[in-house]
Order: sequence, then C-alpha cells, then structure tokens
Amino acid sequence: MKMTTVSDLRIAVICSSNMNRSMEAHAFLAKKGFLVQSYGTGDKVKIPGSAADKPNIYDFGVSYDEIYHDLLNKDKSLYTQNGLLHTLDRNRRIKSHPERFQETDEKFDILITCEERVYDQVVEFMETKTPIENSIVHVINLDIQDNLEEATIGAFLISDMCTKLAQTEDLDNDIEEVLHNFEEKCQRPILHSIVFN
Amino acid sequence: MTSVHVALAQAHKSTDTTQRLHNLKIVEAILLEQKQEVTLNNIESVLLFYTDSENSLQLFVLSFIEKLCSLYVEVACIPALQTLLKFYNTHPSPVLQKRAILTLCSIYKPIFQWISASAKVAAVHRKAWELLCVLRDRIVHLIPSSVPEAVRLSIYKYIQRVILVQTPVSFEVRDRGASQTEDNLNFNVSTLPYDHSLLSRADLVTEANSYVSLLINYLRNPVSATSLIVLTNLLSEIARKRPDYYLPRVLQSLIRLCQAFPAFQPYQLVSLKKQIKVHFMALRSVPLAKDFYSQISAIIESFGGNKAGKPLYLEPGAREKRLREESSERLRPKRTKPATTSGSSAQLLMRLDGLPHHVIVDLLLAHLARLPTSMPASFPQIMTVAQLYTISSATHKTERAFSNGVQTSNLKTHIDLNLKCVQNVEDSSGPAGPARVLEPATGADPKSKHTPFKVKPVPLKNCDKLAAFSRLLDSENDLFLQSGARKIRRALLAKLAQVQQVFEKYKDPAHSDFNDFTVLLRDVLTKDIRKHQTLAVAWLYEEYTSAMHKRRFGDKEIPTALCAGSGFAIEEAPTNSFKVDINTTDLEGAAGQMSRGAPPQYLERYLACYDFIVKIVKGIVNNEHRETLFRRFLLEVPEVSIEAFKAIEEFCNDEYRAKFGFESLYELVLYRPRYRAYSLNTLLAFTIIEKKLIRSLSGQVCVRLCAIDGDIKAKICNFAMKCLRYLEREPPDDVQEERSADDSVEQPSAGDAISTDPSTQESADRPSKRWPLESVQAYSSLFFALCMETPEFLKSLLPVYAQVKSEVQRGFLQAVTPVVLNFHSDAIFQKLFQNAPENSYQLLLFMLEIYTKHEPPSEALVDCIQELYARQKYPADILIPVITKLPKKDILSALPKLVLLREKATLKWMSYLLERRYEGVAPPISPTDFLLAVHDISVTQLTRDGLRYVHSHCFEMRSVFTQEVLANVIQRLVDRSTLPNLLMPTIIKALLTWPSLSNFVVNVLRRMVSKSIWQYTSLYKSFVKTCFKMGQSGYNILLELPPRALESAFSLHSDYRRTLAAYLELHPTLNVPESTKKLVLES
Repeated sequence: MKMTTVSDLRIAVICSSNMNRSMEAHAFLAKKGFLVQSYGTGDKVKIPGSAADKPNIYDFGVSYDEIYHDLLNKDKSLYTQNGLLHTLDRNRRIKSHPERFQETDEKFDILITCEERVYDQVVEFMETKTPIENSIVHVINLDIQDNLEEATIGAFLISDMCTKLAQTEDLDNDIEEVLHNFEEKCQRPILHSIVFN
Repeated sequence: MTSVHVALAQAHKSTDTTQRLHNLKIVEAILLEQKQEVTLNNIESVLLFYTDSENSLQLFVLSFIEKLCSLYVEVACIPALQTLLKFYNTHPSPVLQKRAILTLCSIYKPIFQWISASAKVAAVHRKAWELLCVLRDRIVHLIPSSVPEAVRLSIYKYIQRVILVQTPVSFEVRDRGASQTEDNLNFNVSTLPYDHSLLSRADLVTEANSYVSLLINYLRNPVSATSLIVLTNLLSEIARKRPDYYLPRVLQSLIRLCQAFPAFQPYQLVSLKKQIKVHFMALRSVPLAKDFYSQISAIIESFGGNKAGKPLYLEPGAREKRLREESSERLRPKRTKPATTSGSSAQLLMRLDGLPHHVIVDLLLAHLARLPTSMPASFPQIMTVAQLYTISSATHKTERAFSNGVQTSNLKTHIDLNLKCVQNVEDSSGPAGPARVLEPATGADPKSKHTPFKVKPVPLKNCDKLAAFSRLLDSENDLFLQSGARKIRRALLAKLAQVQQVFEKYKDPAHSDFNDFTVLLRDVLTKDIRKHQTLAVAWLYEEYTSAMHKRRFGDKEIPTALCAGSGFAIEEAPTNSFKVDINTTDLEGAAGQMSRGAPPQYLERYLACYDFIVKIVKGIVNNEHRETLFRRFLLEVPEVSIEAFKAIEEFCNDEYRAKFGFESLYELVLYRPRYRAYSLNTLLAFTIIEKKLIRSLSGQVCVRLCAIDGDIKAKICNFAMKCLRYLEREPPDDVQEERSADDSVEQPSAGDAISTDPSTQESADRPSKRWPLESVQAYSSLFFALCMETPEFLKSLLPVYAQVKSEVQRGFLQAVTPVVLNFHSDAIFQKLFQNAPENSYQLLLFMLEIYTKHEPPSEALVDCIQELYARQKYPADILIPVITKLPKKDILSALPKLVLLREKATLKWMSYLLERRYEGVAPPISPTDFLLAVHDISVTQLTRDGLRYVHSHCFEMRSVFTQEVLANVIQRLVDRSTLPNLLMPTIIKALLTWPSLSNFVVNVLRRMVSKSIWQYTSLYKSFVKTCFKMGQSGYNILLELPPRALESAFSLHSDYRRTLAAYLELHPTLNVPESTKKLVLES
C-alpha cells in the first residue's frame, strides 16, 4: 500500500557507511511520510569489530541480511550486546543493502549529511557532476556522532528540520531563515550549500 | 492518431485535475514515442494547458516543453518559446517562474544547436532566435528587480547556461578527448560556422563575456549568502569548463571575495569557505591557474586545507582520468564475499616502491626504445603507472602494470642479461651507483617475499634507439586518441628530452645517446611544430620541473614526487620572475623600458628550449586572428621569456601581423597575471607610436581590456592621461616640427620627460617650439580611443585643452570629432559644461556643433545652454549649436548679440537658423520674421557692421529669401507706421537679387511717397537714387514728390534735375503739378 507523503520534497540522508545515522534518519523520516532515501559516501561499509583496529569491512553491494548473518556467525553475543544486530535487522526491513551516494542517479531536493567530512565529499562530488535537470539542491550538514544514541537524537533533529523545510511556501526562498532558526534552537553547528542536479 | 485526439479531448472535457493530468501524460507518452504524431496541432493543443489555473498542469506543460525540445526541436521550438513568452506575460507565481526559467535553461542549448547547425537560415530559425533573445533579455533583466531568492538563483543558473553554450570550448578542454563531459561533447559555439548568416561567433562570445561580468558583479555585491554560494558554484564551473576565457577573471574575483567576506551568519560563512575551498582545489589543477597557485594555496591553507595536496598540474584530462579510474574500480562487481581486511592480491614481480625516479625512467625508456611504432596494449597501462607514481594508493597497481609491460615487451630478458653483470653491486655503492634496478637478489619467489630488486641502469647499447625514437616521434599523433596512449607517450618523450641531465650528472657514458634524442626532437619540432605542439609543451614542462627542482634542492637527491609521472608536477611559481619587474602603478616611462635582467641560472635550460620553440613558431605565424599555435606557447607554458615578448613586439610592428600580435598581448594581460604589467606596458608603448594603423589597433585592444577589468582600466586611463598631459609641455628637441621622417615619438619615456621636469626658464628663452600634428595625434590617440567608449572621460580633456598650445588644440579638435559623433546622447555636454575651465570653451563649442550637426539637441541641453548664457558665463556663440531648438522669442532677444559675432560665426548661426532642418522639428523662425527682426535691431556704432553683414548675407541666401519672402517683408515694412532704417537697403538689394521685383518695388516706392519718405533723412537719399535707377517709372514717382522734397533731391546730385527736365520735355502731356514743373524746368 502506498503511503501518503507529507511533502513533495525529495530528501536523501547521507552518512559514511549507510548503516547507522543515515538509516536511523531514513526510518524516522519514512515513518513521518517523507520521500526519503539514504546513502553512504565511504569506499567501504565499515562497522565496529571485535577490537578498535579490527573493523568489519564490506563492499557497498553486500546486503544488510548478509552482513547480519556474517556477524551472527562471528560473535552473536558481542554484536547483540553492542546493538549492531538490532540495527542491521532494522535496516534490512527498510531496504536491501547499503547504497553509495556517488553511484546513484536519483535526483533530490535536499541532501542531509551527518558529518562534515561526508558533507565535503557530497559537495565535491556534486560539483564535478554535469547538471542535467538544473534544479536546485540544498546540501545541509548536521554533525551527529556515530553511535546509537546520537543517531536517534540526530534522526529526531533531522525530522524536525525537514518538517520545517516542508512547511515553507518555497524552499529556496525560505531556507536561510529556517536554517538560522533551527541552528539557534538546536545549538548545533550546521552547514548549508547549494548545488544543481 | 486517434488515441492522441481522444486523450486530448478527454483532458479538455474532464473537470478533475488528476484526470486531466493523467490524460495529458498519455498524450505526452504517445508524442514522445511516435514521431509521426508530433504535429504542430497536437503540440499546441497540449501547450494550451499553460493557461489552466492549476499549478500541476502548468508544471506539466513546462516539463513537456523540455522533453519535446530535446527530441523534436525543429517542430517544437517555436510553439514552446511562444508559450514560454506568453507564460511570462501572465505573471506566474515564483514557483512557476522558477520552473519556467529552468525549462528555458534546459532547452536553450538544443534550440541554439539547431539554429547554428542549419546550413541555410530560414525564417523559422530567425524567429526562434528572436524569441530566444527576447526571453533571455527578459529573464536577465529580472535580477535587479526584487524577485524572490529562488527565482534569482534560477536566473543565475540560466545565465551560466547561456555563457557555457555561447563560449567555445577551450583548446585545453577540447584536448581531453575521452574525458570530455557530455556538455562539451555535444555542442557549443565552437562548431558554429564562421560564415553563419544569423549568428556571429564574435558577438556571441562578447555577449557571454558580458554575462560573466554580470555574474562577477553580483558576486561582488551579493544579496544573500545563498546567492553568494550559488554564484561561486556557477562561476567556478564556468572557469573549469571554459578556462581559456574566464578562469583568471573568476579566480581573481574569488580571491578578492576571500580577502573580504561579507557579513553573514557564522554557519553561512563556514559553508561558504568550504565551498570556495572545493572550487579552489578543483581550479588549481587547471594549467591556466598556475599564476594564481600561491594565492590559492595560501587561501586553501587558511581554510584548513592541505597545501601540498594534489599536483598542481596534470596534463589535460589526467585528473578526470584518475577520477574515472577510481570510480570504475568502485563500480566493479559488488557482490563480493564479506571481507575482513583489505589487501592487494596483485602478483608482485618487482618492487618499485622507493626506487629513485631516474631508475624508473631508465626502465621506461628502455621499454620505450624497444617498442614498435604500433604499441602493445599494455603500453598505456605502463605509462599510466608513471603518471600515477606519486600517488601512494596506486603503488601496487604500478607494480603489477609495470611488470606486465616489461614482460610484454620482452624487456625482462634484456634486463636479466644486464643484471648478470652487476649482481654484485650492492646498495652501499651510494650515490656513485645510483641506478639500481631489477632482478631478485636471491632469485626467491617475489610473490611471497616482495624482495627489493637490485638495480642498475640499463645499458641500451644494443638497442637501435635512434631508429626507435624516430619512429616514436613520427608516430606521436598516430595513436588512437581514446586509448590515452598518445598523451602518455608524449609525456615520456618529453621526459626523454629532458632526462639527459640526470645522466650527465652521473657521468655515465652509456647514456650519452640521450643528447642525440634532444637533437632528434628539435629536428622533428622544426619540421612540423604544429603537429608536435603538445609534445613541445610537455617538453617545456619537463624542463621547467627540472629547473624548479634544481632551484629548490640544488644538487641533492631528486625527489621522486617531483620528477616522476607526467612531468607536469610543478610545485609553485617562481616568486622572483626575472622578466616582469614593472611597477604597474607607475606607467610613466614604463612601456618599453622593462628591466630585462639576466634570467636566473636555474631556468637557463628551460629558456633555451622555450626560445628555440618560439623561434620556430615565430617563423610560421601568419596573420590569422585565430592562430592558436603561438597563443598556446604563451598561455600554456610555465614561463614566458623575453624572446617571446620580442616576437610579439615584432608582430605588432608588422602591419600584416599586428592584429595577431595585439591579440597575444590582450590574452597575456588577461590570462597571465604575472605578465600583466609587462604585457600591458608593451601594449601601451604601441599606443603612442606614429604608425597610425598599429596605434589604432593597440588602442582598440586597450579599450577592450578596459571593458573587462576595472584595475586594468585604471592603469590604461592613467597612462592615457599622462600622455595627454605631456603635450602641455614644450616639445622635446627630437619631436620638433622640422624633424626627419624616421624620428619616432619618444616612447613612454614621455613619462620620464615629465618626471625629469625640464627647465621651464630655459625653454622660455628659446624661440617657441611647436608640436607637430603627428606627435599630437600619437600622444592623444589612446585617450580619444578610450573616450569613444567612455565619453565622460572627456572631462579630463578640458583642463589640458586650456593649457596646451594652439597647434595641440587644433590636433585635439581634429581628434575629438569621431568621439562626439559616437555619443549616444547629449547628456554628457551638461556634465562637461559644468565647471569647465575658461579656456576650454572653444573645444566645448566645437564638440557641441559637431553633435548638433547630426542630432537635434535635447530639451535638457537647450535649457542648460540657455541658463549658462543667461548667467553670462559664455558669449552668444554658445547659442549657435542649439539655435534651431531655441524658442522664437529667445532667438529674437539674442539677435542683437548674435549680429555682433565674427563674420564666420555669423555665417554659421544664420545657416543653422535658416537652413538647418532636423527631421520632425519645425524651424523656430520663418525667414520673413527673421528679416523683419533684423530691421528692428537698432543701428548703432557697435552693431552697424555686424548688422550690415547679416543683412547682406540674407540676400545671398537666395533659396531662403525668395522673392516672395522679400516682397512680403518689404510690404510689411512699408505698412509700418515708422519706416525702419534698413528699408531702403532691403529694397535695393531685393531689386538687385530679384530684378523681377521691379514692378513691386515701384509700387512700394510710390507708397513711400505717401508715407512722406522725404522726412526720413537716412532713407531719402537712397529712395531718390532708387527712383532714378528705375527709369521712367521712377521719374514719375519723383515727380509726385512735393516741390520742397524734390528740391532737396536735386541737391543730392546735379544730374537729377537735368534728367527730370529732359523727361518732362519728352512727355509734355504728363500730369505734373505746375509748381513741380516749374521747379524742374526753371534751370
């Protein structure tokens, strides 16, 4: 059954691995009825491993389900305890596998990044692309630490911001004001740039 | 067909918007899929829905236009553009307005392409272009108004699109071949035929240029942070895609922006800085940005970026290639097994990591020398290795590819043989044994151990290198473009030409043959430099890289990062350029007096190569304005030498190649900021030489430069003013009027003359010297050329005019004519007249006269002049140019003053007043009224001569003062109660001019008798004379006079009585009073 959308805005939430922050926000925004997609910008999907210097690294094509089972086989208790299995279980119910932003052809109105480094990558990538649609894209960064608690708070903030952006009569006209108010309210530094699709 | 009609009918019938939209989408799908259904009727039927009040339908129409124009532009463009135009007239909401602009943005290129591709321009093309221009102008002119932010951003984007479409692709971008983006591959103005009857390439580029200036202007005065961010994005893209044309300007404006950011919210500033950093990182890899490298790096560093970063300059396309490679690597099959750690599984046959660059080069050269003309498939890979060697992540790839390459070319066997001789050589041999390559030291499996290879230079004695090199050079351009091999081979050949010093350094006689290669390369370049131009540029970069290394590291170990790869890695521009050391703010005596110190030692080799190339190119440059060869060696090379400037000066001095020479200077000024001062001074030096053609060409280039950059304009204007002021002084001895023909005007050392301040006392004692006209023209030509574009600049001429000698003033008057004829309005005169120095009045009057000769003066100007005259600031001359637009009463009141003017001036104002006719402007006064007014001027000592001259001149203007006019005037004068003093002269001159008026005059004379003419002493004498001249009719009139009056007439001349007496005797029957008879006959 098709969900009713609250806004026509096409939103993408982007983090590094498309695992925690972006997926949390994806889930939150989708529930609210936004047209949302999520992506990562890294070379690989990196998730915590048994030690700090032993991360689990996967290609972007590998599905959440495969990762889930891989971790399950490696150390069920550890990954249950640190919440990774729960996260992966949630993710696989939203979409099949992590997606890399640089490889998508989808067009968006708003790109929300969860980390300054990701923001830089997104802006640089958009700059090197030849615009086809010529439509305006707003790239907004909201720094969110990569852990489960912060991801939840971040998703809430992103949802709040998107609601406000969706309420504007014309996004391009009013975004400066909305972001200014939002920054004051949430007391988090944000970045904003404009590129073309 | 039916389905389109049915769907359209349903869309029209339906009242539900969703249903209508659904039906329209069906129509759209059919039209886009089936070409035969695309008819004008169908298109127009869909487009008509733009009038619907529903936003969704209007948005659908806009998207339909976009899709249709991309597929069927020839059918769809006119209705689409018309719809967009009508759409604008309906004043749509900002959302729709924004969408419509973006639609136009998308269809601009296909329509433009369609028009420009048409071999024969038809009416439909013209109409499409017209509509496109109308829409474009409308949209661009929306910005200054208070449009919503969203609309403004869309307009910026639209302008950027226009700029990119209307500017030719830069040669550097074009050279990228495979790496071209879709935007460049498809179309832009570079494919437009030069003889296209509708579109002129030059005009389109000029227009695009002005749009860039517009965007830069908005960048300088941003309305909001959002606008600023968008503008930096757009301008940066323009600079990246059309670097030849816009890169330096964009960089300058971005740098200027970074020096003083506007006050925005902190988060906006941070975002902006980040954005600019991204742009700078991208732009600094473009060759033309080289001159800005240090500034850009400093800014990036201040924004928290890595200064060293990527190499400044990769050969065109290298950056894109690298990105492509990275991206393709990422795009490889994704369905891989979950990995725990990454690691290279490459088969490592050799370990190159850590080898000195010359060893790698050695290997590659050996490889190269043995390769046949037709390269093996592995070749590009190997050479790519060389290019990517600086990137650590590519190391493993390097190893793999290189080993494959060596195996493919059977080089390994050769190397093996050599290595047998040097197996005992150990690393401890130090710098004396630098070349160490190859072969596992123990023969162990390199797969497992990654054992470093011991290396030795490869003696190439057994290779027929020269033959191989010759083949390679000959086939330089024959490789398949897309393979990338051509580019890489060039880079290696360039390296080969440069590398000899490496081997010289180690005194290895085995490599003396490399000297021969340089000779070979020189021969090849001499034979066909055009064909091998890219190789030549690559060679120069190799030499330059090596020179820069020498400068920085002396004779120490050569760092791999600097020398390996394409040879285009240049770390920074030399700060102390030996060539340009001109204080640009002081142009006095600057041009032509450059400090031409010796070049630094480290650039000696580079300059020798560069000068050699310049010498070849100089010989083959023709007068082609579009000559790109020489241009390339000016704009693309790291350093431009004095020799190149000398060559340009030679071109400029040669009338046949001057145009090209000046074009080169123009580009150097704009695109090579490091040489700006020098180029500008060279250019300015030509603006004061005596050869008119060359002077005028240099002036034109100066004017073009002024239109582009404010700083350059200030410098040029400053120089022009100094030249002009130089004429205020006594002419120097070598520019006296009697000088010999080959004397040249002192080069801008004219400025020196100013600064040295020759003794004025001395010059006062000597007989007055005169400026020859040629010198006046030479020194003032730049100034007047600038005035053509900026008439306000004439203000500066007035004080100079007031100071200079009369012959210089004459020269100015000659030169100012074309400037005045170029005026678009006379508003400038009002500014000029305000606060004009006293002695400049003549110049102002002259200019005003020239202007009014062709254009009627405006009401404002007439009012201004009248006011000045009323304040008695200027004499009556000032009224002359505007006299035809003065009200009649003002003319009449000014007439007594006007008649006092010199004869020449009188002729002028009479001619203007009575003969000049402007289209649609009624003459202020009729000839009759004018002559009557002249009769009203009281004749005094002061006015007598002037009045007499005016009066006489009236009768010379036979076409104006016809006999009817004169008869009318005389009649009205006689009808007056008092006869004016000039009546009789008027009658006499009228009679002399028009003898046919005699009967009329007789009647007038008779009437004058009735007016007691004898009572007007001044008139009576003339009256009597006239009567006697009229013969019998006159005698009859005289006989009507009262006896006393007649008697006084006789007293004027003794013959009068006798003549009348004889007449009476001949006609005794005449009815004459007795008393008169008696008076006449009594003697």
